[in-house]
Amino acid sequence: MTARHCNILFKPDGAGVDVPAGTTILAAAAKAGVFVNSLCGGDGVCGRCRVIVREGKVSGGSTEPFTHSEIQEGYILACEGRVESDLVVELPLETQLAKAPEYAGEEVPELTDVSRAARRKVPFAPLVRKTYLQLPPPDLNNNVSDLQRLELALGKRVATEGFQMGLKVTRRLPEVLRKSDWAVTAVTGFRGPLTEIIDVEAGDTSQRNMCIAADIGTTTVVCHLVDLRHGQTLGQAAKYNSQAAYGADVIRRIVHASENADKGDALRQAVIGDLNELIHELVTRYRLGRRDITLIAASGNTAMLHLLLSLPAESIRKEPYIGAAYRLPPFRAAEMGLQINPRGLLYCLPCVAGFVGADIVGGIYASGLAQSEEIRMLIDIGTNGEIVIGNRDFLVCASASAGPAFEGAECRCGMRATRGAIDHIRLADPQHVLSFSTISSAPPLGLSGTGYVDLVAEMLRIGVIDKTGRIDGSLSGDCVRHGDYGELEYMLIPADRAGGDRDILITQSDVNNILRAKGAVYAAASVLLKSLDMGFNDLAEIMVAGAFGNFLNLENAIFIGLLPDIPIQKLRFVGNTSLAGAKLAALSQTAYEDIFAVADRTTYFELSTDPSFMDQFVSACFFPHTHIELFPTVMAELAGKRSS
Amino acid sequence: MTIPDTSEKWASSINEVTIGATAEDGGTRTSTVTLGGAKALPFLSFEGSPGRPTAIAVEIWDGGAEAWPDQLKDAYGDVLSSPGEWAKKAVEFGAEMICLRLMSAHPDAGDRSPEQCAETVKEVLQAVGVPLIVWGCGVDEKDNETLPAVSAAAKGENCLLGTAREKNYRTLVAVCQADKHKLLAESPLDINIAKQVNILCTDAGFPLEDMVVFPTTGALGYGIEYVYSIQERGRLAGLGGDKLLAQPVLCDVGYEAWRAKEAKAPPFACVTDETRNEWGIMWEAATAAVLLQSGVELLVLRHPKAIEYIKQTLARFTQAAPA
Repeated sequence: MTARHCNILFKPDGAGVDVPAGTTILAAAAKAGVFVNSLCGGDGVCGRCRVIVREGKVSGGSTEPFTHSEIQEGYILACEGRVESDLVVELPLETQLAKAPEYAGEEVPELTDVSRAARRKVPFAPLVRKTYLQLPPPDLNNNVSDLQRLELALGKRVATEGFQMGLKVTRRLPEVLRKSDWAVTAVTGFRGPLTEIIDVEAGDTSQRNMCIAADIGTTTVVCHLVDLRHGQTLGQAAKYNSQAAYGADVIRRIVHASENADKGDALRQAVIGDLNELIHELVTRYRLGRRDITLIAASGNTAMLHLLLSLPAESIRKEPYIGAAYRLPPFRAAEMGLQINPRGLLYCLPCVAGFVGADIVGGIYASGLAQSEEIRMLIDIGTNGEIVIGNRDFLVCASASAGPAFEGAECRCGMRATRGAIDHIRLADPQHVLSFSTISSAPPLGLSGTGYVDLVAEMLRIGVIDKTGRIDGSLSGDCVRHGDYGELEYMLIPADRAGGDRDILITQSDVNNILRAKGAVYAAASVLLKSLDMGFNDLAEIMVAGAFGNFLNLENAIFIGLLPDIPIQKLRFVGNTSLAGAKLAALSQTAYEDIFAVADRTTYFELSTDPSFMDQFVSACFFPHTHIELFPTVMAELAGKRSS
Repeated sequence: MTIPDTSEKWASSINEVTIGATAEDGGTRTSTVTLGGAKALPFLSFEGSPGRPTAIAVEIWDGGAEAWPDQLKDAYGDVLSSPGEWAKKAVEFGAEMICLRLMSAHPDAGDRSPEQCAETVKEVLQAVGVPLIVWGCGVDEKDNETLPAVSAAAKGENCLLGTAREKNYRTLVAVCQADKHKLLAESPLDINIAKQVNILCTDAGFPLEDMVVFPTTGALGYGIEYVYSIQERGRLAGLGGDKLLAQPVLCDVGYEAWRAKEAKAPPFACVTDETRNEWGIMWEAATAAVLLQSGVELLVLRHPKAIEYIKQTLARFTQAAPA
């Protein structure tokens, strides 16, 4: 007698498979070619392979990992549930998302070249270290205190001018030393000239010392998990900042946070929640414990760091834009509610001004700008666009609000540079997409910031929009059409060919958002250069940083006028330098101190008081620019197109 | 001691644009007007050629002039209901061009059909021999119907048709190109947008050399200093070599000046019955005289006495300095 076969349909992929009754859902999925995330490989341990049984009967499966409502909904671990009848199984988003690790904007390889070019040696000495010590047991001749015994042994291993230890750890110290037979691991944190012994763990735990480097952006929060033993990045995770519910820009969030203590706390909770979620994701993915993470190095703009630490941010938004504190010592991460080792430390990179934050300071350091001999420019394109011009002798910085469009937010089909995001697109004609690619080659779900740069450039090339960004209504048809509220939109990929359930399109407002965002960035760069009596051609190089993912089509960025029309070899995309700065700080005490020195010597240039900014902004709100003579190669290309 | 020559030397000049076509060029005009050519800032003839003298166009409406202030109605009498007769009168008053505004094409002011508008244009063309400016009603959808009909009706006459705006330029550009008219490009008191509209029109295939720009006018007391500085910046850029800002400039003075309450019903204690009717004329003339300093190729005026004052002013400003 042959085993009874059941048909299993997996949603949303739509793949089906026949398996004998009694097969686990996980095995059925593997047979169907549907990837269900599972770290433990089917031991029912990791709890990652959560699926929902929509129709049909299954047996087995523990209810432990699920809430009551999830059980009601049909949640089950795929590795435990056994097929009893025909099934319809849905993979919830978290189970699919885990399919490929989310792309989080790794710093690009060239960044290391910059460091090399600057002939910079960053000595490896993490801010938090673990040192395994085998202490000589005390006797009547060697009768120093337990603490002194520890300090003497540690002093030989950790260069320092002195130690400090908190009362809690000191109280536990005698017991830990004796129970572990004098073999302990000292966890030490860098506090300038002093070193804090933040914890003493029994036995040798020095193999498990991890750090989270975090870039807390207005729109996107990115975390990297770094092994502090050797500085290798293990993985990354990212998500949109949940504070967005309280306003897309920092001003609205500050206003909200300043209303009362509860509201201020809500904003802190939101970002702490995001960080904890990302930490949890990374810890789970790499099968670590929270205790293994002893350090968080955080970078972000001034307002974000204020909200993270519950510092009053109200005066940042009011002239003369003063923050509560720009240079902060390390804090106990648990005090902020961050779920890492309860004794672990949170190091915040320093800020310069109300609108020049740690993100750009970290970027100046990580990009090598602060050590550069020639004068370079760093453009960090985030929700606020920051521009820095300088070299090892001077650094000036300006900031302009660009909006979150380049991070894929606040646009109809915008998304982070993550799985399924279109990051490259070419159009054949107004009716046809020639080619596109998505991150992880997944079915297209939406457009990343890079995708928008490409798309707008292509629309301009083939005449779907004019130089003001207006969609040409006379092209009306399947692609150019009036959407909801009568707004013109340009449809790229219909829902039936997309990975989601909606058409992928760009609306007139989206184009306008991109136009304003690129206008703000270009105008800020122009005004800052002008204030130095320089032009773009006086720069040895322009480095472009930002949350674009690992890729930005520089030609197209020039084509839409986001970047100046200078020889392409003088432009370089350097990725997320804010994060890179945080990571360098975490890995090197020297880097951490150097970053503070960078903050000290960065001069802030206030654009809002510069009468020419508004004029420059309006003239930059045109593709590529009102002064088209500034973009000779773009003009030549457009002229060539017209005559051909 | 010799005084050094501090005069400015300019790299470029303002474009020359001719409006109107005589029989020789396939039209029926008895005269044409050429605008532009300045190689220096206005009236600084010692720095470079001032180019063609500023031309004066007189504004007429195809309907709705009942609403005009009494001072204007008195000056024109009963011709206001007939565009052809009105145009003749305007030429008598010194108009070098007629500026016909198709007010009654506006959906809220008569909604006359494109065909009716085209008839009006023909009527004016038959009545006078000077070149014609035709100005749409300002409602995009309606202008896009009206102006093609007008353009076709006036084909060969080399009119100046307006206006092309940032948000609505494609239709007008296409018909002006097809029927060989000159194009009036409008921008809302913004030098960047002025340039942008010019770029858009050239992108759509229209030659820059055949354009006149209207950067929006404001009357004395109603932002004239802003208008002035925008126009002056444009002029400096144009003379400095920016081809996209080297178009002749039109100022819509009559329309703006007569909207001012000081022109229609001056609210001042010093106003007497004798001077009451002079205020509007002076407001119009003063607005024009101020803007002339910023560089204006074409003034659109209304009142015959204001026209007279401005002609005198221009003559005085351009008089050769005594040797």
